[in-house]
Amino acid sequence: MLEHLRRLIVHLYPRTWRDRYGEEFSALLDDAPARWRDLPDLTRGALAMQLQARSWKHVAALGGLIGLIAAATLMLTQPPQFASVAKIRTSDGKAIPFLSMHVLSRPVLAEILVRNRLYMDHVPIREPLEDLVERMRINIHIDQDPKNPSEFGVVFRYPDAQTAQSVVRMLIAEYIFENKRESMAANMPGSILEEVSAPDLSTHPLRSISTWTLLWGIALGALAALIIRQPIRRTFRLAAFALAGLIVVGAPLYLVKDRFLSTATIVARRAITVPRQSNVQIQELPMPAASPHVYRVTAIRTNRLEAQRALQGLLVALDPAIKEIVESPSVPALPISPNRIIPPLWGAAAALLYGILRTRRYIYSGTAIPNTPNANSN
Amino acid sequence: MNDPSLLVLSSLADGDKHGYAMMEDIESFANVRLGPGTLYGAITRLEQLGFVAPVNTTDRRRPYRLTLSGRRSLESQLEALHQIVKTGLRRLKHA
Repeated sequence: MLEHLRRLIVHLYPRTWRDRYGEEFSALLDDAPARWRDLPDLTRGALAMQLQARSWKHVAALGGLIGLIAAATLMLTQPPQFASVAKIRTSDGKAIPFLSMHVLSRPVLAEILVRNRLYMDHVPIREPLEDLVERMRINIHIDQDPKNPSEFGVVFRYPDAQTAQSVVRMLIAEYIFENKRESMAANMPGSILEEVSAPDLSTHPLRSISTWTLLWGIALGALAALIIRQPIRRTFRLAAFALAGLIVVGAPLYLVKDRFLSTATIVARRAITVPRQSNVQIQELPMPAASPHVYRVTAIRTNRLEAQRALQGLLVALDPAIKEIVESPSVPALPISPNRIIPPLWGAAAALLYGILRTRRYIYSGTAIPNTPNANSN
Repeated sequence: MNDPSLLVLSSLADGDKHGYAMMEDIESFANVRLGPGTLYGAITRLEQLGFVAPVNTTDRRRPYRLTLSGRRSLESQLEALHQIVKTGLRRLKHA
Protein backbone atom coordinates (compact mmCIF):
# COMPACT_ATOMS: atom_id res chain seq x y z
CA MET A 1 0.00 0.00 0.00
CA LEU A 2 2.67 2.48 1.11
CA GLU A 3 5.01 1.40 -1.64
CA HIS A 4 2.20 1.73 -4.16
CA LEU A 5 1.42 5.25 -2.96
CA ARG A 6 5.08 6.27 -3.19
CA ARG A 7 5.27 5.09 -6.79
CA LEU A 8 2.00 6.85 -7.58
CA ILE A 9 3.28 10.18 -6.27
CA VAL A 10 6.41 9.90 -8.42
CA HIS A 11 4.07 10.24 -11.42
CA LEU A 12 3.25 13.75 -10.19
CA TYR A 13 6.80 14.87 -11.03
CA PRO A 14 7.11 16.60 -14.43
CA ARG A 15 7.74 14.32 -17.38
CA THR A 16 11.03 16.07 -18.27
CA TRP A 17 12.27 15.55 -14.71
CA ARG A 18 11.25 11.89 -14.75
CA ASP A 19 13.05 11.42 -18.10
CA ARG A 20 16.24 12.75 -16.54
CA TYR A 21 16.06 11.46 -12.94
CA GLY A 22 13.31 8.83 -13.01
CA GLU A 23 15.51 5.74 -13.23
CA GLU A 24 17.91 6.71 -10.44
CA PHE A 25 15.04 8.06 -8.30
CA SER A 26 13.28 4.73 -8.67
CA ALA A 27 16.51 2.97 -7.59
CA LEU A 28 16.64 5.22 -4.51
CA LEU A 29 13.05 4.30 -3.60
CA ASP A 30 13.98 0.61 -4.02
CA ASP A 31 16.93 0.99 -1.63
CA ALA A 32 15.41 3.29 1.01
CA PRO A 33 12.93 1.69 3.43
CA ALA A 34 9.41 3.01 2.86
CA ARG A 35 8.12 5.41 5.53
CA TRP A 36 4.75 7.18 5.78
CA ARG A 37 6.51 10.49 6.21
CA ASP A 38 7.94 10.05 2.70
CA LEU A 39 4.49 10.72 1.21
CA PRO A 40 4.29 14.45 2.10
CA ASP A 41 7.99 14.76 1.30
CA LEU A 42 7.49 13.30 -2.17
CA THR A 43 4.35 15.39 -2.77
CA ARG A 44 6.15 18.60 -1.79
CA GLY A 45 9.07 17.62 -4.02
CA ALA A 46 6.71 16.94 -6.95
CA LEU A 47 5.00 20.30 -6.48
CA ALA A 48 8.34 22.12 -6.28
CA MET A 49 9.57 20.38 -9.46
CA GLN A 50 6.33 21.11 -11.29
CA LEU A 51 6.69 24.79 -10.41
CA GLN A 52 10.39 24.79 -11.33
CA ALA A 53 9.74 23.13 -14.68
CA ARG A 54 7.29 25.76 -15.86
CA SER A 55 7.77 29.39 -16.83
CA TRP A 56 6.67 32.02 -14.32
CA LYS A 57 3.73 32.83 -16.60
CA HIS A 58 2.44 29.27 -16.42
CA VAL A 59 3.01 29.16 -12.68
CA ALA A 60 1.14 32.45 -12.21
CA ALA A 61 -1.71 31.22 -14.43
CA LEU A 62 -1.95 27.94 -12.50
CA GLY A 63 -1.92 29.76 -9.16
CA GLY A 64 -4.51 32.20 -10.47
CA LEU A 65 -6.76 29.32 -11.51
CA ILE A 66 -6.44 27.70 -8.07
CA GLY A 67 -7.14 31.09 -6.46
CA LEU A 68 -10.21 31.53 -8.68
CA ILE A 69 -11.55 28.11 -7.71
CA ALA A 70 -10.85 28.81 -4.02
CA ALA A 71 -12.61 32.20 -4.17
CA ALA A 72 -15.62 30.74 -6.01
CA THR A 73 -15.82 27.87 -3.50
CA LEU A 74 -15.65 30.32 -0.62
CA MET A 75 -18.50 32.37 -2.07
CA LEU A 76 -20.64 29.35 -2.87
CA THR A 77 -20.32 28.06 0.69
CA GLN A 78 -21.71 31.32 2.05
CA PRO A 79 -25.37 31.23 3.13
CA PRO A 80 -27.74 31.90 0.22
CA GLN A 81 -29.44 35.25 -0.12
CA PHE A 82 -33.05 35.46 -1.20
CA ALA A 83 -34.09 38.46 -3.23
CA SER A 84 -37.68 39.59 -2.84
CA VAL A 85 -38.83 41.88 -5.61
CA ALA A 86 -41.91 44.07 -6.09
CA LYS A 87 -42.74 46.49 -8.85
CA ILE A 88 -44.64 49.76 -8.57
CA ARG A 89 -46.09 51.83 -11.38
CA THR A 90 -46.16 55.59 -10.98
CA SER A 91 -47.62 58.52 -12.90
CA ASP A 92 -44.52 60.59 -12.31
CA GLY A 93 -41.13 58.87 -12.26
CA LYS A 94 -39.49 62.06 -11.03
CA ALA A 95 -41.17 61.66 -7.64
CA ILE A 96 -39.32 58.41 -6.90
CA PRO A 97 -36.13 59.97 -5.47
CA PHE A 98 -38.20 62.18 -3.16
CA LEU A 99 -40.31 59.26 -1.92
CA SER A 100 -37.20 57.06 -1.55
CA MET A 101 -35.58 59.70 0.61
CA HIS A 102 -38.39 59.33 3.15
CA VAL A 103 -38.84 55.58 2.87
CA LEU A 104 -35.13 54.81 3.14
CA SER A 105 -34.57 57.22 6.01
CA ARG A 106 -33.07 55.90 9.23
CA PRO A 107 -36.23 56.02 11.39
CA VAL A 108 -38.33 54.11 8.84
CA LEU A 109 -35.67 51.48 8.20
CA ALA A 110 -34.93 51.12 11.92
CA GLU A 111 -38.60 50.40 12.60
CA ILE A 112 -38.79 47.79 9.83
CA LEU A 113 -35.54 46.29 11.05
CA VAL A 114 -36.73 45.91 14.63
CA ARG A 115 -40.17 44.59 13.65
CA ASN A 116 -38.62 41.90 11.46
CA ARG A 117 -35.71 41.22 13.84
CA LEU A 118 -33.29 41.56 10.93
CA TYR A 119 -29.68 40.44 11.31
CA MET A 120 -30.27 39.36 14.90
CA ASP A 121 -29.50 35.69 14.21
CA HIS A 122 -26.84 36.14 11.54
CA VAL A 123 -24.26 38.33 13.23
CA PRO A 124 -21.97 36.86 15.87
CA ILE A 125 -21.86 40.08 17.89
CA ARG A 126 -24.72 42.51 18.39
CA GLU A 127 -23.92 45.52 16.23
CA PRO A 128 -25.18 49.04 16.94
CA LEU A 129 -28.57 49.82 15.36
CA GLU A 130 -26.91 52.46 13.18
CA ASP A 131 -24.67 49.82 11.59
CA LEU A 132 -27.54 47.40 11.09
CA VAL A 133 -29.56 50.12 9.33
CA GLU A 134 -26.60 50.77 7.03
CA ARG A 135 -26.31 47.05 6.38
CA MET A 136 -30.02 46.93 5.56
CA ARG A 137 -29.72 49.95 3.28
CA ILE A 138 -26.97 48.22 1.30
CA ASN A 139 -29.30 45.28 0.68
CA ILE A 140 -32.15 47.42 -0.61
CA HIS A 141 -32.11 48.30 -4.28
CA ILE A 142 -34.48 50.68 -6.01
CA ASP A 143 -34.31 49.76 -9.67
CA GLN A 144 -35.80 52.25 -12.09
CA ASP A 145 -36.06 51.03 -15.65
CA PRO A 146 -34.53 53.74 -17.90
CA LYS A 147 -36.78 52.63 -20.78
CA ASN A 148 -39.89 52.84 -18.66
CA PRO A 149 -39.24 55.41 -15.90
CA SER A 150 -42.80 55.22 -14.61
CA GLU A 151 -42.09 51.76 -13.15
CA PHE A 152 -39.61 50.96 -10.45
CA GLY A 153 -38.68 47.85 -8.55
CA VAL A 154 -38.01 47.47 -4.85
CA VAL A 155 -35.57 44.65 -4.10
CA PHE A 156 -34.40 43.40 -0.72
CA ARG A 157 -31.87 40.60 -0.21
CA TYR A 158 -31.80 38.54 2.95
CA PRO A 159 -30.80 35.00 3.96
CA ASP A 160 -34.44 34.15 4.77
CA ALA A 161 -37.02 34.25 1.96
CA GLN A 162 -40.07 35.01 4.12
CA THR A 163 -38.33 37.83 5.96
CA ALA A 164 -37.16 39.32 2.66
CA GLN A 165 -40.73 39.24 1.43
CA SER A 166 -42.06 40.80 4.62
CA VAL A 167 -39.55 43.66 4.41
CA VAL A 168 -40.45 44.41 0.79
CA ARG A 169 -44.16 44.48 1.68
CA MET A 170 -43.43 47.01 4.42
CA LEU A 171 -41.26 49.12 2.12
CA ILE A 172 -44.05 49.22 -0.47
CA ALA A 173 -46.57 50.18 2.20
CA GLU A 174 -44.24 53.02 3.21
CA TYR A 175 -43.95 54.18 -0.42
CA ILE A 176 -47.73 54.25 -0.76
CA PHE A 177 -48.17 56.02 2.57
CA GLU A 178 -45.53 58.65 1.79
CA ASN A 179 -46.99 59.18 -1.65
CA LYS A 180 -50.45 59.84 -0.24
CA ARG A 181 -49.11 62.14 2.45
CA GLU A 182 -47.07 64.20 0.02
CA SER A 183 -49.90 64.30 -2.56
CA MET A 184 -52.36 65.61 -0.01
CA ALA A 185 -49.91 68.18 1.34
CA ALA A 186 -49.07 69.46 -2.15
CA ASN A 187 -52.66 69.12 -3.34
CA MET A 188 -51.58 67.14 -6.37
CA PRO A 189 -52.59 63.76 -7.78
CA GLY A 190 -50.79 60.74 -6.37
CA SER A 191 -47.91 59.34 -8.32
CA ILE A 192 -48.20 55.68 -7.28
CA LEU A 193 -51.00 54.16 -9.31
CA GLU A 194 -50.73 50.50 -8.56
CA GLU A 195 -48.61 47.79 -7.14
CA VAL A 196 -47.69 45.77 -10.21
CA SER A 197 -46.67 42.55 -8.52
CA ALA A 198 -46.52 41.31 -5.00
CA PRO A 199 -43.15 40.19 -3.69
CA ASP A 200 -42.42 36.75 -5.00
CA LEU A 201 -41.62 34.16 -2.35
CA SER A 202 -40.03 31.79 -4.83
CA THR A 203 -37.20 34.07 -5.90
CA HIS A 204 -33.89 32.44 -6.62
CA PRO A 205 -31.38 32.20 -3.84
CA LEU A 206 -28.52 34.49 -4.77
CA ARG A 207 -25.00 33.90 -3.70
CA SER A 208 -22.90 36.99 -3.47
CA ILE A 209 -20.74 36.36 -6.53
CA SER A 210 -18.40 39.29 -6.47
CA THR A 211 -16.04 40.13 -9.32
CA TRP A 212 -13.63 41.72 -6.85
CA THR A 213 -13.47 38.58 -4.72
CA LEU A 214 -12.73 36.49 -7.81
CA LEU A 215 -10.05 38.95 -8.95
CA TRP A 216 -8.46 38.93 -5.48
CA GLY A 217 -8.51 35.13 -5.56
CA ILE A 218 -6.70 35.10 -8.92
CA ALA A 219 -4.13 37.69 -7.79
CA LEU A 220 -3.40 36.01 -4.45
CA GLY A 221 -3.24 32.56 -6.05
CA ALA A 222 -0.77 33.75 -8.69
CA LEU A 223 1.36 35.51 -6.09
CA ALA A 224 1.36 32.51 -3.75
CA ALA A 225 2.41 30.20 -6.60
CA LEU A 226 5.30 32.50 -7.55
CA ILE A 227 6.47 32.62 -3.94
CA ILE A 228 6.24 28.84 -3.49
CA ARG A 229 8.35 28.46 -6.61
CA GLN A 230 11.24 30.24 -4.90
CA PRO A 231 13.84 28.34 -2.85
CA ILE A 232 12.97 28.42 0.84
CA ARG A 233 15.45 31.13 1.85
CA ARG A 234 14.26 33.40 -0.90
CA THR A 235 10.70 32.82 0.33
CA PHE A 236 11.72 34.16 3.73
CA ARG A 237 13.46 37.06 2.03
CA LEU A 238 10.30 37.87 0.06
CA ALA A 239 8.23 37.56 3.22
CA ALA A 240 10.57 40.09 4.82
CA PHE A 241 9.99 42.46 1.89
CA ALA A 242 6.21 42.08 2.27
CA LEU A 243 6.41 42.65 6.02
CA ALA A 244 8.53 45.76 5.49
CA GLY A 245 5.98 47.13 2.99
CA LEU A 246 3.16 46.37 5.43
CA ILE A 247 4.93 48.22 8.26
CA VAL A 248 6.16 51.19 6.20
CA VAL A 249 2.67 51.92 4.88
CA GLY A 250 0.68 50.75 7.90
CA ALA A 251 2.61 52.28 10.80
CA PRO A 252 2.05 55.97 9.88
CA LEU A 253 -1.69 55.28 9.61
CA TYR A 254 -1.77 54.52 13.34
CA LEU A 255 -0.44 58.02 14.01
CA VAL A 256 -3.37 59.56 12.11
CA LYS A 257 -6.45 60.23 14.22
CA ASP A 258 -9.75 58.52 13.44
CA ARG A 259 -12.28 60.66 11.58
CA PHE A 260 -16.01 60.19 12.12
CA LEU A 261 -18.77 61.26 9.76
CA SER A 262 -22.18 62.30 11.04
CA THR A 263 -25.02 62.84 8.56
CA ALA A 264 -28.48 64.37 8.64
CA THR A 265 -31.15 64.97 6.01
CA ILE A 266 -33.40 68.01 6.13
CA VAL A 267 -36.18 69.54 4.05
CA ALA A 268 -35.85 73.34 3.89
CA ARG A 269 -38.43 76.01 3.10
CA ARG A 270 -35.93 77.90 0.98
CA ALA A 271 -32.43 77.49 -0.40
CA ILE A 272 -29.89 77.53 2.41
CA THR A 273 -26.14 77.78 2.73
CA VAL A 274 -23.83 77.21 5.66
CA PRO A 275 -20.85 79.37 6.62
CA ARG A 276 -17.61 77.93 5.28
CA GLN A 277 -15.87 78.28 8.64
CA SER A 278 -18.43 75.96 10.29
CA ASN A 279 -16.58 73.05 8.61
CA VAL A 280 -19.86 71.35 7.77
CA GLN A 281 -20.69 70.17 4.24
CA ILE A 282 -24.13 70.63 2.76
CA GLN A 283 -25.36 69.06 -0.45
CA GLU A 284 -28.73 69.60 -2.12
CA LEU A 285 -30.28 66.33 -3.27
CA PRO A 286 -31.74 66.20 -6.80
CA MET A 287 -35.52 66.49 -6.60
CA PRO A 288 -38.39 67.40 -8.98
CA ALA A 289 -38.70 71.13 -9.64
CA ALA A 290 -41.91 71.54 -7.61
CA SER A 291 -40.48 69.73 -4.56
CA PRO A 292 -39.00 71.51 -1.57
CA HIS A 293 -35.25 71.85 -1.08
CA VAL A 294 -33.81 68.67 0.41
CA TYR A 295 -30.29 68.71 1.82
CA ARG A 296 -27.89 66.14 3.15
CA VAL A 297 -25.65 67.71 5.77
CA THR A 298 -22.42 66.08 6.90
CA ALA A 299 -19.76 66.84 9.46
CA ILE A 300 -16.41 65.12 9.90
CA ARG A 301 -14.66 65.28 13.26
CA THR A 302 -12.04 63.30 15.16
CA ASN A 303 -14.60 62.56 17.87
CA ARG A 304 -17.89 60.83 17.06
CA LEU A 305 -19.95 62.90 19.49
CA GLU A 306 -18.35 66.13 18.31
CA ALA A 307 -19.40 65.27 14.75
CA GLN A 308 -22.98 64.81 15.90
CA ARG A 309 -22.90 67.99 18.04
CA ALA A 310 -21.58 70.03 15.08
CA LEU A 311 -24.64 69.04 13.05
CA GLN A 312 -27.04 69.58 15.94
CA GLY A 313 -25.62 73.10 16.39
CA LEU A 314 -26.06 73.81 12.71
CA LEU A 315 -29.67 72.58 12.70
CA VAL A 316 -30.45 74.85 15.65
CA ALA A 317 -28.94 77.81 13.79
CA LEU A 318 -30.90 76.96 10.65
CA ASP A 319 -34.14 76.24 12.49
CA PRO A 320 -36.29 79.01 10.91
CA ALA A 321 -35.47 77.74 7.42
CA ILE A 322 -36.04 74.04 8.20
CA LYS A 323 -39.40 72.54 7.33
CA GLU A 324 -38.66 68.97 8.39
CA ILE A 325 -35.77 66.93 9.72
CA VAL A 326 -35.98 63.66 7.83
CA GLU A 327 -32.90 62.15 9.48
CA SER A 328 -31.56 63.61 12.68
CA PRO A 329 -27.75 63.82 13.08
CA SER A 330 -26.36 60.32 13.43
CA VAL A 331 -23.82 59.05 15.94
CA PRO A 332 -21.17 57.42 13.77
CA ALA A 333 -20.20 54.00 15.05
CA LEU A 334 -17.10 53.44 12.94
CA PRO A 335 -14.51 55.91 11.62
CA ILE A 336 -14.55 56.69 7.91
CA SER A 337 -10.80 57.14 7.80
CA PRO A 338 -8.00 56.28 7.87
CA ASN A 339 -8.33 52.90 6.22
CA ARG A 340 -5.79 50.78 8.08
CA ILE A 341 -6.32 47.58 6.13
CA ILE A 342 -6.26 48.17 2.37
CA PRO A 343 -3.27 50.60 2.07
CA PRO A 344 -0.93 48.37 4.15
CA LEU A 345 -1.97 45.38 2.00
CA TRP A 346 -1.15 47.34 -1.14
CA GLY A 347 2.17 48.32 0.47
CA ALA A 348 2.94 44.66 1.19
CA ALA A 349 1.98 43.64 -2.35
CA ALA A 350 4.14 46.38 -3.91
CA ALA A 351 7.11 45.50 -1.69
CA LEU A 352 6.69 41.83 -2.53
CA LEU A 353 6.67 42.57 -6.25
CA TYR A 354 9.79 44.70 -5.80
CA GLY A 355 11.38 41.84 -3.87
CA ILE A 356 10.59 39.34 -6.64
CA LEU A 357 12.01 41.61 -9.33
CA ARG A 358 15.10 42.35 -7.24
CA THR A 359 15.96 38.81 -6.18
CA ARG A 360 14.91 36.73 -9.15
CA ARG A 361 18.46 36.60 -10.54
CA TYR A 362 20.05 35.50 -7.29
CA ILE A 363 20.24 32.09 -5.68
CA TYR A 364 19.14 31.57 -2.12
CA SER A 365 22.69 31.57 -0.78
CA GLY A 366 22.94 35.23 -1.69
CA THR A 367 25.68 34.69 -4.27
CA ALA A 368 24.97 36.52 -7.52
CA ILE A 369 25.20 34.08 -10.39
CA PRO A 370 23.65 33.91 -13.83
CA ASN A 371 20.45 31.88 -14.18
CA THR A 372 22.06 29.70 -16.79
CA PRO A 373 23.70 26.66 -15.19
CA ASN A 374 27.44 26.69 -15.28
CA ALA A 375 28.41 23.10 -15.76
CA ASN A 376 31.89 23.27 -14.30
CA SER A 377 33.88 20.17 -13.81
CA ASN A 378 36.84 19.28 -11.70
CA MET B 1 21.97 22.52 10.44
CA ASN B 2 19.55 20.91 8.02
CA ASP B 3 20.02 22.82 4.76
CA PRO B 4 19.67 19.92 2.26
CA SER B 5 21.98 21.54 -0.31
CA LEU B 6 24.77 22.04 2.20
CA LEU B 7 24.34 18.50 3.50
CA VAL B 8 24.54 17.06 -0.03
CA LEU B 9 27.65 19.10 -0.85
CA SER B 10 29.26 18.01 2.42
CA SER B 11 28.44 14.38 1.72
CA LEU B 12 30.06 14.53 -1.72
CA ALA B 13 33.16 16.25 -0.36
CA ASP B 14 34.91 12.91 0.34
CA GLY B 15 33.96 11.15 -2.88
CA ASP B 16 31.23 10.32 -5.38
CA LYS B 17 27.98 8.88 -4.03
CA HIS B 18 24.58 7.84 -5.35
CA GLY B 19 21.28 8.91 -3.78
CA TYR B 20 20.87 6.23 -1.12
CA ALA B 21 24.56 6.41 -0.14
CA MET B 22 24.17 10.16 0.36
CA MET B 23 21.05 9.63 2.44
CA GLU B 24 22.85 7.15 4.73
CA ASP B 25 26.00 9.28 4.93
CA ILE B 26 24.06 12.43 5.85
CA GLU B 27 22.18 10.54 8.55
CA SER B 28 25.46 9.27 10.01
CA PHE B 29 27.33 12.60 10.17
CA ALA B 30 24.46 15.09 10.64
CA ASN B 31 21.80 12.93 12.28
CA VAL B 32 19.31 14.17 9.67
CA ARG B 33 17.29 11.74 7.56
CA LEU B 34 16.49 13.47 4.26
CA GLY B 35 13.34 12.29 2.49
CA PRO B 36 13.75 11.15 -1.14
CA GLY B 37 11.82 14.21 -2.41
CA THR B 38 13.99 16.62 -0.45
CA LEU B 39 17.22 14.86 -1.44
CA TYR B 40 16.47 14.85 -5.15
CA GLY B 41 15.11 18.41 -4.97
CA ALA B 42 18.52 19.48 -3.63
CA ILE B 43 20.42 17.38 -6.21
CA THR B 44 18.33 18.86 -9.05
CA ARG B 45 19.00 22.43 -7.87
CA LEU B 46 22.70 21.79 -7.31
CA GLU B 47 23.08 20.22 -10.75
CA GLN B 48 21.31 23.19 -12.34
CA LEU B 49 23.73 25.49 -10.54
CA GLY B 50 26.68 23.42 -11.70
CA PHE B 51 27.74 22.51 -8.13
CA VAL B 52 27.37 18.74 -8.67
CA ALA B 53 27.58 16.61 -11.81
CA PRO B 54 26.43 13.07 -12.61
CA VAL B 55 29.03 10.37 -13.11
CA ASN B 56 28.65 8.25 -16.23
CA THR B 57 27.53 4.74 -15.33
CA THR B 58 25.40 1.89 -16.59
CA ASP B 59 24.03 1.21 -13.09
CA ARG B 60 20.53 2.46 -12.15
CA ARG B 61 22.12 4.04 -9.07
CA ARG B 62 23.77 7.09 -10.59
CA PRO B 63 26.57 8.59 -8.48
CA TYR B 64 27.24 12.34 -8.32
CA ARG B 65 30.48 14.23 -7.83
CA LEU B 66 31.35 17.66 -6.55
CA THR B 67 32.40 20.16 -9.25
CA LEU B 68 35.02 22.86 -8.77
CA SER B 69 32.44 25.58 -8.25
CA GLY B 70 30.55 23.27 -5.88
CA ARG B 71 33.71 22.78 -3.83
CA ARG B 72 34.27 26.57 -3.69
CA SER B 73 30.67 27.16 -2.65
CA LEU B 74 30.95 24.52 0.07
CA GLU B 75 34.21 26.00 1.32
CA SER B 76 32.79 29.51 1.56
CA GLN B 77 29.66 28.28 3.35
CA LEU B 78 31.65 26.16 5.81
CA GLU B 79 34.06 29.03 6.49
CA ALA B 80 31.13 31.28 7.29
CA LEU B 81 29.68 28.61 9.58
CA HIS B 82 33.07 28.02 11.18
CA GLN B 83 33.37 31.72 11.93
CA ILE B 84 29.93 31.69 13.58
CA VAL B 85 30.73 28.57 15.61
CA LYS B 86 34.12 29.97 16.71
CA THR B 87 32.63 33.31 17.77
CA GLY B 88 29.71 31.66 19.54
CA LEU B 89 31.94 29.27 21.50
CA ARG B 90 34.37 32.05 22.47
CA ARG B 91 31.54 34.22 23.75
CA LEU B 92 30.05 31.34 25.65
CA LYS B 93 33.40 30.76 27.38
CA HIS B 94 33.60 34.39 28.48
CA ALA B 95 29.99 34.63 29.52
